[in-house]
Amino acid sequence: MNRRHFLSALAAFGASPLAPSFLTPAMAADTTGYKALVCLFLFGGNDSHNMVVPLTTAEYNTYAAARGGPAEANGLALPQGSLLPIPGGLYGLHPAMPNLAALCTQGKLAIVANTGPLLAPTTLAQYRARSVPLPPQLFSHSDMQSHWQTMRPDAPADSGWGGRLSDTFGTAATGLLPVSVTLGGGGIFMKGDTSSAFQVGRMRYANGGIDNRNRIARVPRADVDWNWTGGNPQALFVGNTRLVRANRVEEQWASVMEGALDIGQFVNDGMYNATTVNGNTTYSLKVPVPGTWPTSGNGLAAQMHAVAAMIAARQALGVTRQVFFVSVGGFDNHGDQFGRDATTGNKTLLAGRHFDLLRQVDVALSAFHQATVALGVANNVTTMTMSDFGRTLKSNGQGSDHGWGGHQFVLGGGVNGGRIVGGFPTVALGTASDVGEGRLLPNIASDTYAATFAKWLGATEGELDAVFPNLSRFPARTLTDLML
Amino acid sequence: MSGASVIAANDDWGASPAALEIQDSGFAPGHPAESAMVVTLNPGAYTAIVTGAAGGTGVGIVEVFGLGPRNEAARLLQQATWGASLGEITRAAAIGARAWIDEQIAKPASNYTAQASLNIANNKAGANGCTDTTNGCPWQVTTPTIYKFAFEGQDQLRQRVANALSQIMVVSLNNNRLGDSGTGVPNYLDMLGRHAFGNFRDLLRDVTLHPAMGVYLDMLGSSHEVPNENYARELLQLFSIGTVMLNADGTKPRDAQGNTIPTYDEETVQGFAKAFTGWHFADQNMTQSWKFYWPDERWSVPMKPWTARRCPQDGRWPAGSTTTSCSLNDPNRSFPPPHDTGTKRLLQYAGAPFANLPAGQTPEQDLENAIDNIFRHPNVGPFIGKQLIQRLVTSNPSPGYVQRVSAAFANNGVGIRGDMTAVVRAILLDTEARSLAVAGGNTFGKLREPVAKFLHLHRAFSARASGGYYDIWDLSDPDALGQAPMRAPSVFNFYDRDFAPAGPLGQAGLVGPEFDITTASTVAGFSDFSKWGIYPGFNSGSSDQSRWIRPTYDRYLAGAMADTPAALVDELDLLLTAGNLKAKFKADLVATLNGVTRTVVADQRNDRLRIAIWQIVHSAEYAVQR
Repeated sequence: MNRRHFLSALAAFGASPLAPSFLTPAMAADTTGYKALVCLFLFGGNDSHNMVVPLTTAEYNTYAAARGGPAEANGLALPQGSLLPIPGGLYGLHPAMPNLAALCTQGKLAIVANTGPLLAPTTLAQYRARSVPLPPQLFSHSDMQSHWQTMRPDAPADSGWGGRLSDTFGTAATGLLPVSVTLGGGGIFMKGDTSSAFQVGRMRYANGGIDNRNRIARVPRADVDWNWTGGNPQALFVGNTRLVRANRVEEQWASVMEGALDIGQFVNDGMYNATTVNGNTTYSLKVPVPGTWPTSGNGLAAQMHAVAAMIAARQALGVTRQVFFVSVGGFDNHGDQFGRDATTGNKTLLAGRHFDLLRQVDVALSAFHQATVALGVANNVTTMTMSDFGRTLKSNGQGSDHGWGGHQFVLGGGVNGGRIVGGFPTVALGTASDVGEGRLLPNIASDTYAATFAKWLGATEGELDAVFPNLSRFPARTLTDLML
Repeated sequence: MSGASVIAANDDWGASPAALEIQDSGFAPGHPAESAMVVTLNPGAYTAIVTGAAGGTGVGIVEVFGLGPRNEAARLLQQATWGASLGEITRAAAIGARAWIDEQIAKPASNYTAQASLNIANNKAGANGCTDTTNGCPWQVTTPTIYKFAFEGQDQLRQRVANALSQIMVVSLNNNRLGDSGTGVPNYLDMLGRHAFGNFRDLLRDVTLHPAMGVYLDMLGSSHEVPNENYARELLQLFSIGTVMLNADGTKPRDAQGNTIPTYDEETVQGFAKAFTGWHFADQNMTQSWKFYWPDERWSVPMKPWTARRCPQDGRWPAGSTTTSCSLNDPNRSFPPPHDTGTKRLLQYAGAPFANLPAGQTPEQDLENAIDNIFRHPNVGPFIGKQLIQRLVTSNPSPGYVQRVSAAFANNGVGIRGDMTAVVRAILLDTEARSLAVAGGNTFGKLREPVAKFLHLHRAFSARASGGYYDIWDLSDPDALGQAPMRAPSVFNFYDRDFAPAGPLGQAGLVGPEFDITTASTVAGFSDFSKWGIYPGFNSGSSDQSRWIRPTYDRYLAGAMADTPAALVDELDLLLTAGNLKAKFKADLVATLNGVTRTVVADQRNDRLRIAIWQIVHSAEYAVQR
C-alpha cells in the first residue's frame, strides 16, 4: 500500500488496528501456507434482492410493495414466512438456501450488501447529472460481466483480475500447474498479463458415485486403443505439436495442445492412481474427497467437487496458492422467474427457475465447505460470489430486468461471518439509491469487494493497486475497512 | 504420355478410383464406359493416345479441361462450406471462385421446417426410437435435421452464412421452450438462410418478429405495463450496431478525452422496448383473453400484434388494484391491448430516420420504423461485416478489408444498402481472403470451431447415413465435440467475439474468439472423441445401420494410394488442410506410416489411413484455417 492510500483509508473510516478483520488469518503478505480462493460467477444477473430479504414486518412490507406483491399478483415478493432468518433476526435468506442459512448462523458465511461496478463513489444526484464517470454500458450483461471480471472497465478488456492476481504469485506458489484453474468459462477473468489458466473438467458421476473413467485432467493420446504395430504415433504427434510456427494463430493452438500434454499429464499423475488389469486401466483419486455430494442434477456441485479434489491433492501438485473459477448460468430471469405450485397450479416463487438455481448453489457450496472442513483446510479456502448485476426491484410480470447493485456471499472457515457487511439498502422504489425501476446504486465498489480476497491471498498493497487500478478511487480498500 | 512414358491411362472411368472426383468436377462423360482421368501436370508438352477397347474402331474425341490450382479451391471451400470432397474441390478449381459463389447463391435453400415436420410425423409413427405418438418427440428433431443438411445439402455457402448469422443473432436449443418446440429453431434457420442472400433490413425485421426469438429474448408477450428490455438491448448491442461508434473500417473513433463514443443509452433501450410491445404468437383467438398467457404456439409464422383487451393472468390483479373481476368490455375492469401507444426515443445519429416515434402508432408502424432507425445506422456495415469475416475467413481482418466489406454493405453497386449477396461476395472474393501471399502471413487465419472440424472430416470423404437420418445427439460436452449447432450457452454465443487468449495470439494484440472454448480440457476430450466419432464415421450406436454415418475411404484403402504413404499424405493434406501441412511433419508422417505393418494387408491399409487422419486432424494446420 502506498502511504497516501493508507492514510486516506484511516481518515475515512477511522480504522484501528483493533478493528476485526473480514477474513482471518490476518491479512499479512504471506505466501507460505496454502490458500485457495474460489470465485463463483452467477451468470445472467442473480436477483439477489430475493436472496437476502428484510424480515421485520415494516421492512418486509416495504420490500413486498417494491417487488409488486406476491407471485399470485405477478409480483416477486417471497412469502415472509418462508424466509430463513440469519443472526440478528433482521434479515432472512431465500427459502431455497437452508444449508447456507445454517452456515451463516455458524459464522462461516457473510453477506456483502449492495456491491457492484463503479468508477468512483457515486450519489444519486451525481448519477443523474452524470457528474462522475460511470461504468460504460450500465445494465448490459457483457459489459458488467466484463467489469466484474477485469476490474478495469475503462481500459481494453485484455486481462482479468483473477489472472493478474495469479501473475503476482508467479511460479513461486506453484510448480507446473498455474495458480489459476478454471472449471470452464471465465476466459477473461482468468487471463493474466503473463499467466493463463489451466482448465480441468468437472466431476462425473455414475452409479451413485464418482465416475473416474472421466478424469478431470487428461492427456491427448494418439495411440490408445489402437491395434497398430510399429511406428510411434504419439511421438510423431508430440513432435509436430512442438514445432515452432510463425503463424500466431497456429502457434496459439499449439500452445494449448502443449499445455494439455504437459500440465495435463502432471495433474493426472498428481491426482490419480492408475491400475491396469488385463490391459484395462482404471483410475481412482489418490486422496478421496470427503463429504456428501449430490451425484446428479447439480452442475455446480460437480465443479466444486472437482475443486475439492484438486485441493485434496495440493501437496502432490506442489501448489501453495490457487484461484479457481466456477460458474452457473441461467440467472437472466426476465421471463421465467416464477414456478408453478405442484398441487394448485398457481404461480409461486417457492419453485421455478430462480428457486432451483439458488438451491443448486446452496447444496453445492455447503457440500464443498464440509469437504474443506474434513480435509482440514476450511480456514485456508474462501469462496466468494459474483454476478453481472442485481436486478430491478420492479417486476415485469414474468420476472425482472437488468439492474445494478446486488448482494454477494462469502463462505469459508476464515470468514468473519454471520453478518451483513455494508449498509443494507432500503428495499423500495424511489429511494436515494434507486436509479430507476428499482435498480440500486451500489454502496460498495466491486473493486473493494474483490481486493479483500486478493489481500487475503497474500497480495501486497502495491500489488493490490496493480491488480485493481481503480481501487484507490474508493475510500475502502477492503471489506475490513467497512467492519463495524 | 510424356515423351515415351505413360503418365496415366484409363478405360471405363466410372469404375476408376477417381470416379467420384470426375463426377463432382462436372466434366464427367455421359457413359461410364468412356475414358476420363484427372492428372496434375507440370508445364510441358504431352501426347494423348486414344485406342478402341478390344481393338474396336470409331470416332474418338479428346477434350482437355484446365482445372485451377486445387489447393486454392480447397481454401475457398474451407471458408465457404462445411468441408469438401476431392471431387467438389476439383469442381471449384475448374470454375473458379467467382463462378462457384454465383452457383451457390443460385442453389435453392434446404428446408429445415419441412424436414423437422417430417421427422415429427415419422416419430409419431414410432420411428427413431420415439414412443411419444401424440407429439412425435419434438425435442429430438432439430439436431438431426441440421446435420442432415450439413452433410447432404447442396446449399453449403448459404448454410455457412446462415450459421455465421446464427452466431450473431443467437437463439438456442438450450432454452427449454425452444428445445421442445420442434419447428421453432428449424424455422429460424430457414429465415436466416432466406436472408443470407437477401437484404439485411429484412433479416433484422424477421429476426425481430420470429417467435423463436420472441420466446428466447422475451419480446413475445411484452406489454406496455412493463416493457421487457431484454430483446431491445440485445438487438442493439449484439445483432446490429454494438455499444460504441465505429468507423467504416471497424476501428473506434475517440472523443476529445480519448474515450470511445457510446451508441445509445438506457433511455434508448427503453424506447425500443416500448416500440416492441404488443407482439405475440400469430393466429391467437383474441376473444379468449387467457390465450395471451397460454397461447397456441405457432412457430412457423412471424409474430402478430395482440390487439384485443386482456384479463390479468390467472385472474390476478397487480398489487394495490381495487378491481377484482374482469370484463373485456369494461376498460376499467380489463387491461388494454399490450402495445405502448406513447412516444418513443430511438437511436439519435446524423441522418437517423425515425429518431423519435410519435404517439398513437400501430405496433406494425412502430416496429418498421424502429428497424429502419437501426438499419440506417453507420455501425451496421462494419459491425456485422467484420463478424461475418471472422466467422468465414480470418479472426483479425485488416481495417481495409473491413472497410471494403462495409462499402459493399452500404452500396451493392446499384445503390442498394444491405444486399447480403454483395457482402458475401465482398468477403470471399477480397484479395485478403483469396491471396496465398496474405494467407502465408503470420497473423492470418482463424481457429475452426469444433462443429466445422467434425463436419469437414466427414464431408471430405463424402460421408452419408444411407437412411438419410443423421442420428447425432447433443455433442456439446467437452468430452465429446465441445460444441453443438444452435446450442449456444447464451445470447452471447459460444465464444466472446473479442476474446484474446493469453499466449502468442494475445501477446501480438490479436483476437481469437474460438479459443474461448479451446482449452487443455477440450483438446484432450476431442483427441478421444475423434477416435470413435470421426475416423470410422460418427455412429450413434443404433442397431439400425442405415443411421451410421459412413465415410467413403475406398480410394485410400484400395489401389495405388493404399500402399504409397507419400501419395496418401499428399492427398489428405489437400483435402484436410488445403495443402498447409508442414514439410517436416509430412515427411515424419510418411516415415511413421511406412513403419506401420500388419500381416493382413487390409488391416495395414486401414491402420495407416486412420493414423494419418488422426495425426492430421490433431495438427495446428487442420485446427487453423488459413
